Amino acid sequence: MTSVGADTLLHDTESCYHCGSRVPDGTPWTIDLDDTSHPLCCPGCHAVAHAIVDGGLASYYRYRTELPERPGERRTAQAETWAVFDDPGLQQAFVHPEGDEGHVSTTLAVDGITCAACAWLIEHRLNALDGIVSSAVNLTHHRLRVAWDPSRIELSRILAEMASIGYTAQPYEPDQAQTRLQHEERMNVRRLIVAAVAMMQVMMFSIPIYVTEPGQLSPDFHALFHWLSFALATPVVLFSAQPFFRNAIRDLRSRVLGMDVPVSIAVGGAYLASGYAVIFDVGDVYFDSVTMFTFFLLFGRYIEVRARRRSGHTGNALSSVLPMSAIRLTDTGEERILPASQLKVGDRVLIKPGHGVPADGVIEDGESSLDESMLTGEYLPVTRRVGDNVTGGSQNVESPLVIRVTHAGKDARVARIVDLTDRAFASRPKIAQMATRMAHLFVLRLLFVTLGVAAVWWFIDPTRVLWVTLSVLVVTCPCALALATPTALTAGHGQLHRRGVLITRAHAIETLSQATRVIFDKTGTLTAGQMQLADTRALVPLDDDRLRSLAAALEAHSEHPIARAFRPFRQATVRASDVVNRPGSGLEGYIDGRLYRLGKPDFAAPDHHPAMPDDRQWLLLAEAGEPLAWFAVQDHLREDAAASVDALKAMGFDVELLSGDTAGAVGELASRLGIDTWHAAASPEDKLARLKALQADGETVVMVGDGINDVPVLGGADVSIAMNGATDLARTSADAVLLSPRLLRIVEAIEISRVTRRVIRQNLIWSVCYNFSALPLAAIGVVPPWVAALGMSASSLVVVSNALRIGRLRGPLATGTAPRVQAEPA
Amino acid sequence: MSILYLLIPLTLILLSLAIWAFFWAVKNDQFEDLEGPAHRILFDEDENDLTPPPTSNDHDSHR
Repeated sequence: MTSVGADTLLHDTESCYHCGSRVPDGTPWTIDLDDTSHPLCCPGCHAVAHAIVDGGLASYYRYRTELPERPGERRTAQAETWAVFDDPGLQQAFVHPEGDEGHVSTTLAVDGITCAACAWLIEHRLNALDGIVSSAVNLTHHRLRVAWDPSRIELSRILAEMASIGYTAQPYEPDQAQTRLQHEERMNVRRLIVAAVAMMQVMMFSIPIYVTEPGQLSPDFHALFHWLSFALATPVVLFSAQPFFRNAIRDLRSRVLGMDVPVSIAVGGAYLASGYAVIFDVGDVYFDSVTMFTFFLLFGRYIEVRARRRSGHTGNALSSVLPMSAIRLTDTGEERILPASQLKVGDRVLIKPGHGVPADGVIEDGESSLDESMLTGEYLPVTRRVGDNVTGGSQNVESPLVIRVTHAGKDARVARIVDLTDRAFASRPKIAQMATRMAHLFVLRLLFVTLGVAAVWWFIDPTRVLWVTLSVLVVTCPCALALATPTALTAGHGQLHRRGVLITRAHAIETLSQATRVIFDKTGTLTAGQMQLADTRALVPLDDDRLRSLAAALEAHSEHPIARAFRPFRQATVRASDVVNRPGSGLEGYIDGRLYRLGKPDFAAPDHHPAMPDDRQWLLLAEAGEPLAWFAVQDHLREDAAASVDALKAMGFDVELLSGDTAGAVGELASRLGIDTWHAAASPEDKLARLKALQADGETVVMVGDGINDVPVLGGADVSIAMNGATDLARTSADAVLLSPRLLRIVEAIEISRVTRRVIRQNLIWSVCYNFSALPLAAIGVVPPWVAALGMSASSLVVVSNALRIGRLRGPLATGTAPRVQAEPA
Repeated sequence: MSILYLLIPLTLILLSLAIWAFFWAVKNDQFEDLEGPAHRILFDEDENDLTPPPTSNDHDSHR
């Protein structure tokens, strides 16, 4: 399954050898492999690539078929928090004893797995460690099961090793829904197996009856085969076909008929009638049709569910937002580590810099800046002081804080955003609902026609009523009709998956093909969510490199996102000492004995400072109150953002920008990309309201986002797409997930969805034509049920092979905009 | 034809064995990951991949 674009991406000299991002000019990082030197784009990739190659695992680069995510620098801050996972009290929840030798095992949810080579890499890296008993990666669900000897290695070391090769992992605790889903999936496999095995055997017993002339087969065997078929079909109907009956009963209760109703009538009716025929030795027996029919339907559904479950999310949505552990301060001031889920209202909690806030609360002591980008989309940390509220899920950036918990666990604001999402889902304007209504009408008419046919035959020939009715039900069985859409969708899913777009909800493709407007979030979606130095303006005759290295020396002491922009400019010879962090203002420290300040103009040069060059985000560097230089920092745009926006506009979409960020930043970005409609400072509620307004005007909206703040609007959009770096929660609420950080994939996805829609339409037309021509034949009684079953299978086959065409699409798509789409910038 | 009286029970026994085996596989997570093993077989285990484990050169990726 080599992806189409991967080869060229992997060997492009302009792109990072590790992650495929564009390499900025003059970057010093390289990796030597087989006597060739390859460029790397950032310190993160440098660290990961060297850890991989030094560990003797360079083959990873040969095996992989997908590029990994760029190693996030923010995640390094979590390193200290891993130690809490070594706490025996906390481990009780997720670590289990394994075997008799004192070994233990756990399941970890792993982020960043993109292809099978990742599994190879993780397993080889871990198995080489002393104390690891075994490790196995589940590629479908992105989980790692690892067993180790606690006397020789600690869990935190395992997590650190994973991080060093670019994967973040955390203990996996399935929630209730997850456990139920897994149970259901297993039952489906069992049902399918029973149906398959029984179908084959029933067929074995039926063939002698079909191929022999009447009288050739002794009556004893005839009866024996029938009784055996009866026995084998019974578990199929009672166990395998159970979901159809259950759904049919639910449909009848809610008075909205679905495909399961005629399916249940056909399966149940044929089974009962055949059973009657066997017991009283009158009429024909159709257990083969019953089992085959059940198997085909189950198989189709199984494939569909499987495709849907192959999603990137790891299961426990809230866990990646709220930290696992918290430090509670007892009345005597002692620090006690405990799971965040055990926090109660009124607890006093210590939050160290670099740690996440475990619950909503009020600051009692300390002052720090908090990164709330997960909740608000605002990428710069905000300063919070004593008495201010803090929100669970945000990150403490600078200095320790003590908070008193006001809302913990399910009452926390993040949890309420999840609620908001549920409500958005409930009111989603579904095409699916229309399809349900159409199916309802179709089934209703089908049942009436069948009833009519049965009534007519009652007068013509009462002995044949049952079999003609059955033929009508089987021949018109919405099998082809039912398969028409899911097979095309499944093929579309497969094609999209190969191209790096994972569809997690069945309706997404259909809706995507009808979309009229695409709304982007800003931070983390159109931009990469990382600060970069955009501009340097010297105010004194000093060269830029020197100025940048001075600033970098100061910023080396800060964990603030802005500091990362200066990281590439650090020089070993320039060092700052006694650096003090002034939250909300900037940094000050001594370099070669002289006092420097970097930050807001009022802070850096309080007496006199020049006006800012423009309205971007500028930092002033000053030496003892004398301004030296301006530095502009900004979140850098994704490489293909402009190309994607252009392509979407060329396809006739309205493109819109909806962000929680400030008006200046959003407006500047919008004008740079040529986006006319934009809204800034939008809260999750505002975003949802804007979306509802658009939908009320009859628009079909595609929403692309990544953060927790986007979750409600992702839930409410007609189709939502989450970026590959998106939070787990955003991924679970999105209809599609990008597997690589390339926005152009969205354009491709829309084109493939249009092809898929075309195929669905062809399939529907075909199956409706088939049903309409077969119905009269069955109704006049010239089609025995086994021919009906054959016809049904053949028509299904046509539908399936037509759908498979989508899977064979290769290379650039044939539609008009394709050349633009394929032109990925170097 | 009387051989069938032996073969048919045999078939049924094999059938129940097959179902039991499949159910055992489902219970033991054999159907959990249908993707990984398909790819894994393609990766060579030899060559220079299994050089001694990394000791302390973990670089600056975790501090």
